Amino acid sequence: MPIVVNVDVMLARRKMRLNTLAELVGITAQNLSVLKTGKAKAIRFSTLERLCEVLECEPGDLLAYEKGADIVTVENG
Amino acid sequence: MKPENEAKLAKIKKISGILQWICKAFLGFCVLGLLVSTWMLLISRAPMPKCEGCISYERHLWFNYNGVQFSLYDITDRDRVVVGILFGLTLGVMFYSGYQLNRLLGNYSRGEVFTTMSAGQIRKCGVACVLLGVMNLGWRLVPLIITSTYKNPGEGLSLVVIGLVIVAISWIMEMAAEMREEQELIV
Repeated sequence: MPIVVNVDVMLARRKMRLNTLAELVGITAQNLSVLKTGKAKAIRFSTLERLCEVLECEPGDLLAYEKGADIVTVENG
Repeated sequence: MKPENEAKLAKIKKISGILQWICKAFLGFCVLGLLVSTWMLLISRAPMPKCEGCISYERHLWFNYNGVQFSLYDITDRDRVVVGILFGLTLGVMFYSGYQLNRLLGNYSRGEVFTTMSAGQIRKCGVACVLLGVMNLGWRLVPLIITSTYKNPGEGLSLVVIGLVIVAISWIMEMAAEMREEQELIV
């Protein structure tokens, strides 16, 4: 998917752990991991809003568009 | 996951594990049945020596299928081959059914209950059910071939219909599981 999520970059900048961010945002660490690894199909505006609030950043700092960055996820079967 | 749901999942895993062992025993029974039936078809060929106190095998190898009786000792080689093939196919299909059910229960014992893989496995169980129904129809030929007697057992295509229904339901379940898995990937 050409949309790249830079959660790990922002986590490093804010020196925050994944579990801490998940707790503050109000989602499970598993869901946040799905977002971080690029497997997410969609993100709710409410989740994006909370991420920006906790990480003190803009949506553009978290989301980027890279044409040709095709992350292929192998599904079951 | 909520604690009560975790308890339910643990119960599903435990029961599936037990049922898996029963399934494996059934698979063993199918293999044993194939060996026994092959042995029966082979050893009932030669006449047994008559002696006092000996067990007369030809008296014991009678086969009763749906009210039609025949002795395995008396049937011709051609009929023996036909019966052997039918035995083999039937037990093979039974083994396939047990194998697919074993795999499905294996998925459940790992907690993979409502997934596309499990739904696909249910479809294979449905196909196995259809094959069993077809073999059930084929077995009606056995008394016809051996004794030229045909008896309609009255049982229709129920297994085939049940199998097709299971396949149809599994398709729906597979699509629903795909939708659920996609929904899980929305953060």
